[in-house]
Amino acid sequence: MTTSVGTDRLLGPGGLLNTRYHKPALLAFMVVVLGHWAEHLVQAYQIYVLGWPRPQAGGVLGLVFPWLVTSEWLHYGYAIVMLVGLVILRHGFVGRARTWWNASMWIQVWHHFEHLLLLVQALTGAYLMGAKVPTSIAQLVFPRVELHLFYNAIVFVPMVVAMVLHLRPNPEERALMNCSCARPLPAPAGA
Amino acid sequence: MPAVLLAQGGGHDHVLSVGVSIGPLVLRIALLAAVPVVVGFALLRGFLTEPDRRGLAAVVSCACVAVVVELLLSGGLTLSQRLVPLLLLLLAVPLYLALSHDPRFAPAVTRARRLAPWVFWPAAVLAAEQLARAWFTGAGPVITPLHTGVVLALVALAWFAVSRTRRTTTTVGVRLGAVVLAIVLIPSAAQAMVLQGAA
Repeated sequence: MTTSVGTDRLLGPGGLLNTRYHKPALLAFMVVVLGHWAEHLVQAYQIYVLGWPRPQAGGVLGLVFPWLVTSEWLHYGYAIVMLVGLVILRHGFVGRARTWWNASMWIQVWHHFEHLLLLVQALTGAYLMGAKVPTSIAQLVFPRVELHLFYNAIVFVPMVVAMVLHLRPNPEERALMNCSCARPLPAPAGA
Repeated sequence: MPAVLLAQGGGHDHVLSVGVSIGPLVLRIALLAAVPVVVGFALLRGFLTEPDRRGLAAVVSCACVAVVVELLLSGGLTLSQRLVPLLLLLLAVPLYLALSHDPRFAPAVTRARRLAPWVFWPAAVLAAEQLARAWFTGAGPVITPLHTGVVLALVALAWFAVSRTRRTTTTVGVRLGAVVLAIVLIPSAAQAMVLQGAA
């Protein structure tokens, strides 16, 4: 494993964000992702434990900036941040971790498309298949599920698997890695 | 601030506000730009050399954009709405076939491109049936089968774009079929847009 790649490019294979700064970039990305989950858990607590009406249950952000959490721009912005993070940080992953990370990325591509479709409908007033309100593709098939949480979960799970495998690579994967994310090997006995 | 309610029981379950409303004109312009690209490719394919990956992806992307815009403008199709994801999957596959350059999947991509006429012809026949129903039967509303015909024709032409058959006779047959479909698609899309505008 080596962390010196002799490049000053930020992005792409061998770029700084996928080599020397892959670890801090992944940590920053995880802070954003976990912050989003925390907001939803707070929201669930407000609804199911405190018994708040749904429009008032806007998480922590919603208490301070109620207008922000009702804005589709916020949700679309988060979908974009997720997509960008998954795309630009993927080159740092190798082997099994890369497979799981790619799976998460492609699911997020679809999730982002769904948000874009909702945004376009809200902007243009033309609703999918003549619906009365902005509707996502998945809602045409599964009309009564908490799609947003479902989507976030199916993006999050392969992402976490990818990160765990990235932290614990097998010897072949470790040899291919150009970042400092992997756990250090235990010192050989007697060393 | 304009605000609309997201579909009941699904999604985020909150009021969805975007701050601006631009109307559906931009969607019609997008359709106006995307359909001629797909039609133009089908008409000129016989006179062009093998298109590169980006060119092919651009044509298939235009077909995808046009279908999504049609789904927004149509107000409904004669197909069940549960088939819409399948329709989008049928569009995603040719887009992948156009973009793929992973050597691991190259044999599967080559095979799928050889089999593309098997998707092109059924979609083209269904499109023709829907358009004929809209124009000639005089029974029921025109607009729904018209939009359905346009959507199916776009799916067929997306598969035509990525088809790469071995036999010359198959290639010529598919190209002629695509030319006919493309010629029919232009007035169909125009009529669908005008009728929707008047609705």
